[in-house]
Amino acid sequence: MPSLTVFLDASVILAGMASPLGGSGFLLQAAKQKKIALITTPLIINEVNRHLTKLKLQSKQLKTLLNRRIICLIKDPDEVIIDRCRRLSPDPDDSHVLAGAIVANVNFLLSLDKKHILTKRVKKHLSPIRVLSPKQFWQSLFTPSVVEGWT
Amino acid sequence: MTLNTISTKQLRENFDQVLLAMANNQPLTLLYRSKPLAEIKPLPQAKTLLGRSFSQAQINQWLKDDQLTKKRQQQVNALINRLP
Repeated sequence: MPSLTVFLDASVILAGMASPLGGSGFLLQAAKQKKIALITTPLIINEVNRHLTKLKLQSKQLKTLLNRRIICLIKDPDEVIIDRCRRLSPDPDDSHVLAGAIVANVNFLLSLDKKHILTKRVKKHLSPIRVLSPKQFWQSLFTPSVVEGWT
Repeated sequence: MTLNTISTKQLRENFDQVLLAMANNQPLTLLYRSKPLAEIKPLPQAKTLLGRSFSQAQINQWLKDDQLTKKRQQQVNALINRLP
């Protein structure tokens, strides 16, 4: 398994599937080449699946990502951990994403949700897990010190 | 399917629409032979089962934010190839 482990929010999976040459699309490409490990939960996959039609994508494309283990699944976090994360995000419905990243014990949590997940509060509480957008993730691999400027 | 109704045929063939309505906390009236038969409404735990709902505008914004310039694409591509 690659040493770089990344937990994906639904926003990143949807963007990666819709646009292969965006920051998220390159994550899928890197995982295909076994350079990074992408992890998520069944609940997040369920969210992605329900929104595929909004991007004119098909379920079989998502199934391929899972069957080829380009994205790996861990089980959904239990309610106790989700509850503990509920106060961290402005929207409690996002708490399962934060809990998933904690349970997965990853290096990075990647999301495109600036309002609820890419916040100072979430970043502070999830440390040492780094909470970034896909663009910031790639930039962090170039020059770790200027991540915040690469929005 | 109209905004708040669903036929038994649509229920069988397009269950994703039911899931979407439940995730949006939107009750549906089930029609049988074009007449109302039952109401389908989400329970409080539906949110935990189905997760979040995202608007089209939200998704479009994500795609926009995620775009890379041609130069960045080349840099990231080269970086991926360099990763162990």
